[in-house]
Amino acid sequence: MTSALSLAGRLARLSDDDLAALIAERVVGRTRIDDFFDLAEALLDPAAVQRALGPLDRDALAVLCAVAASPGADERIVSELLKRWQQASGDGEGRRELRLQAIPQLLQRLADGLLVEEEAGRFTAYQQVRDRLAAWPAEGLPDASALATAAEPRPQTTAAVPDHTKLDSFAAERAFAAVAAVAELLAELEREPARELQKGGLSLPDSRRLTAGLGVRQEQVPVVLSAAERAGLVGRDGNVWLPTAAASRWLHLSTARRWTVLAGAWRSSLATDIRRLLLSHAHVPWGSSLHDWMRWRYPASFAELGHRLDAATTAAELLGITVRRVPSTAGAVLLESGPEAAASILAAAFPAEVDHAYLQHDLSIVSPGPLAPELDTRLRVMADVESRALASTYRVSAASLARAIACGETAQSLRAFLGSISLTGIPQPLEYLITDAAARFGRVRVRGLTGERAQTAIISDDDPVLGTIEVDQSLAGVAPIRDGRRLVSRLPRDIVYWALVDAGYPAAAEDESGRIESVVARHVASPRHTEAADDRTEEVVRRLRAAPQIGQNSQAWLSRQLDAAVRSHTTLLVSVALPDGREIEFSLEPTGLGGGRLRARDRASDIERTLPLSSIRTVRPI
Amino acid sequence: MSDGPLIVQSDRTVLLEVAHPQAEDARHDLAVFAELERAPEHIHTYRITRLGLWNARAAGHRAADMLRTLETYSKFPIPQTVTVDITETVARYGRLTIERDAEGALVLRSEDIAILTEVTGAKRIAPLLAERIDDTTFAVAAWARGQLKQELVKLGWPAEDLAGYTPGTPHPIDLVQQGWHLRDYQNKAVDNFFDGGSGVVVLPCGAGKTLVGAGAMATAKTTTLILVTNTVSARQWRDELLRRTTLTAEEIGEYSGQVKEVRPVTIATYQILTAKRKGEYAHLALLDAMDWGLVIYDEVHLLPAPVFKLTADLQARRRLGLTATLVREDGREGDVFSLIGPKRFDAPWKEIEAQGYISPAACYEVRIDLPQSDRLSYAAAPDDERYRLAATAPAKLAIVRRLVARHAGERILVIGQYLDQIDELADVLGAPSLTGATPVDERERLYQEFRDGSTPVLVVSKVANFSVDLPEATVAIQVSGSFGSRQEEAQRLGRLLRPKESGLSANFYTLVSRDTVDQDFAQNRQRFLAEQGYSYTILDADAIAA
Repeated sequence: MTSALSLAGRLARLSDDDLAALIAERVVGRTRIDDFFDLAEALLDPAAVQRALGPLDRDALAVLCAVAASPGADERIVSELLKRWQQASGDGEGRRELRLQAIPQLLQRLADGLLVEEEAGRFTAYQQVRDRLAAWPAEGLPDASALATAAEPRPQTTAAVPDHTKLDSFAAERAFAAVAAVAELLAELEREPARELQKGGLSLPDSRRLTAGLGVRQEQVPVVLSAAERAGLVGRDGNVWLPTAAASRWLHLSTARRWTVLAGAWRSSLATDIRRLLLSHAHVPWGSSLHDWMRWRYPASFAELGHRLDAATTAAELLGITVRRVPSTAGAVLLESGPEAAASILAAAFPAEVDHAYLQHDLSIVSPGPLAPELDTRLRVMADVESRALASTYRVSAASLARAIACGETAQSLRAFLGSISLTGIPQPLEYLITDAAARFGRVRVRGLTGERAQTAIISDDDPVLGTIEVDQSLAGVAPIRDGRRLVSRLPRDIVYWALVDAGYPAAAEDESGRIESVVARHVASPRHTEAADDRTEEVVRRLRAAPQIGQNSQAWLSRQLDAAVRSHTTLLVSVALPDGREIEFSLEPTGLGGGRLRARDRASDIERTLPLSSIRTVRPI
Repeated sequence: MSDGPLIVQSDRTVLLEVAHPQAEDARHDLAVFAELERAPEHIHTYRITRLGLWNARAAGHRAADMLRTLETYSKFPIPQTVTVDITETVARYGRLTIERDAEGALVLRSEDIAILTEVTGAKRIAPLLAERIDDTTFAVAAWARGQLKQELVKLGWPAEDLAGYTPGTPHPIDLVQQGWHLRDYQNKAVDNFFDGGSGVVVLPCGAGKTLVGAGAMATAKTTTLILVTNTVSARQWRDELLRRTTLTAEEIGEYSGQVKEVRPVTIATYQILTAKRKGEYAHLALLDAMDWGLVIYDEVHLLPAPVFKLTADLQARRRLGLTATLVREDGREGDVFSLIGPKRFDAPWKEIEAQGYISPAACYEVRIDLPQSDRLSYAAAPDDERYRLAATAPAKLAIVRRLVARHAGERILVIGQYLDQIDELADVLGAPSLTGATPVDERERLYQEFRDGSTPVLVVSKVANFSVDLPEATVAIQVSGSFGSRQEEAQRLGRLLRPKESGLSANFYTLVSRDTVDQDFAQNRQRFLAEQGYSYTILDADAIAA
């Protein structure tokens, strides 16, 4: 007997962890699950069965079809059935080889997966599983014979392989550009986190901002973001993306080391099957053969797995592992030997880092090659990046210098650093700007207030400046009001600070003790929160354990089983207590339940019986 | 690949390290196909654009030549994306040609049927074509020649125009090279223009664009229509042609708001050409008044949009564009390419300056503190009034006086945007002012007095910015000016860059009210000037000695 009844019994014997995993993986929709019957029914729902079939590879599916075709089959019958299907398909060269020795493990896997039941070495598929498999051909999925016979697609070795030298130089370019794009992503997120929409994907303004900041096409932004996430460089805090603590360590690595981290994370993130598949394609064009193989191997879940495969191959293109879906030399080595070996190949093709730059009259700073990471990191504090490629361009402005001073730089340290990297000294306009910025910095200070109606105070020793701020039309939004020798605003400190900076005032933010501090966002993503879905799963498990248990034979549990049997027209063995104290067992097909009575057809005598529920002791499936 | 002076980037920019020993050679070869975008003192930025590549292809350069230039001088490997892009883009030029068939009718032709099918099926191109003559040829109506080229450029398949030009009515014109001669680069510009057909010559202000025009006329020897930005400029062209060519006053006509003469050489203003009466262009007849063999467009970057439309109908006539910059504030560089023609000659400013033909200018930004009362008025003013308040701050007057005193004896232009301020400056400095309201004759007189030194200081508004030759100005003081547009700055500096006989170097001051929107605009100006390679110094007003 294979049905919701028997499945419910099996479910009750699972551990809490297994139950939680099962619910998370298999239950479709938001059906309320109060007891193991509900869960069994939910698992036998056609959509849930289809989901259970998804992860099964072609071998497992072929074995399942054999079990479905022959209820109660043992290992030998399954094996013979598979062979018979093969023979029926003819002797074509393309016929696949069946791994008959794997049948016992596959049968056990199907039983563990709650798709079949085992009794004394004989296996029977649940009716709902059989129904689902029977519906496949109409849905364009393979039938039993095709599963057992269709040959494995081979990699396309005939496709023209392009010039490998060109391919590798293209790959090195991509690898370099990917590392640069991730670095820009981290800088952008550090400056301003990016918002993830509820429905998934970045908000449009953030997507546009990152497109411009990263210097990539808009559709590439999520690919770069994923690469950074895989490597643990960015994370979500609520609905915003932020750099993690690992990001700053990564930013101090050389280009080759940075790539090693990104490529290593990509490799580790591959599902075993996908990794094996890509490894088998390490020296041949990926073309369409990856999809062909995936569709052949996982016919029931190709859509989902194909999506994951696409994500992996798209990321591979970004990182220079492939170029136009042909693995580069470094890409092949990455798959075969790991990221360090691959990076050493790429490193030779990366442009050499430089430790100097040109400082120009237009306040631009141009490094004639990739600037060494530690110099780049420090320069970014005092200058904004305008373009980042082989040679990066930075631009100094009054705002960028004010930011640097707020972060602890002084006119002297700025001059010393810029002088040390400059090939041509410090141009006069830049010198003027440094002196001017340092002299004016902090002339207006902004401090957060606590315990007052206003949130922010604007303080300055220069009373005329306060007078100007008070009447400044462009500051009407923050509405500064005179309060003795200071101005106050009801808006938070950072908003007032940015309004003043935007209006051109030499503002500095300070903490409550009067110490200058940077207002630049310095958030770091915290570890990912437990998903809400997990909370729901745990709640369901708690409810299941609290519900009347199988074997307890409470009235409620009996009613639940009988009700299920009525709906599924299942025949049960029902044990009934007679008034004289004896117990008698009937083979009954319940037809109705109500008023404290069960109506059922007695299979043995073929008569209709009506039994008070109070007299029923146990029920069990036949 | 070498350890060369170029860095080729995947965003299609090319950086040139100026101090590198190979920099000059690299610049020479690179300028063929890449546009100089910025030229600050140490690193110049070029950009490889589609138009730039097509311009180069039009001049006979092949993609392989361009890639060889990059490979020869590049410090790092050339990004494959750039290699592919250059090859593919260059290959697009000339796959379609506009030519004449045996009967002399205009046709669009391509041996590549796929391309021909693609473009002829395009919504905006199909209406410009008449019937299909055969697999590779479509008939084109004569009127559609310009529009077709415009649309093909937009589609990314620029056609090579091989249909030739009407020779125009022959007219004898020769240069009178007595005591002067065309400079090498001017000759080269004229030669390149005639080799290429129609097109644009890019030369900085002061580098003698008018002489290139005269040279072209003396080569074409045909009736010529010259289109200029304003009447004063028209008269300068006339004077220059009378001085440098065999043309006589009777042979040169002016067609402007004041005078309507049509002669074998006619100089007309853009304004009169685009003037409308009852919704119709009133002076279109000028375009057909004579059988012009050459049309010259002065300051082609200022060509008003309606003139493009009229130019589309002039494709059968040889066209020469003259300009200091191909950059148009309205972004219609593609229309210049398709309707006037590709760039035929371009010399970087600094290169010509190094040859001694234009004088170097030093640029200064003078920051002026506003008194508290002015600061308060400024702060309390709404956004739309702030620029005017900052630009016309009375505190600037004293600084102008100091600068004029500092440069006593030199020819000084004081430039303003606001009439009140111009009047006030003229008053304070005891100098004449020249604005849009000044009659043309009066303007000419003032310019003449400025040139001969009897009026050493002239306060001018925007009108003096365009196409007026004031070779003796050595100092310009910009007190106010609109919004730091790149074009306007080029013009301002142009006033000072004309060759000086005095040997004095030029100084360009801009006065800026500190901590105002004036300072924000000054930042753009600084960037533009420094990007053009000029030294830039920021001073406090106190540094200008009283």
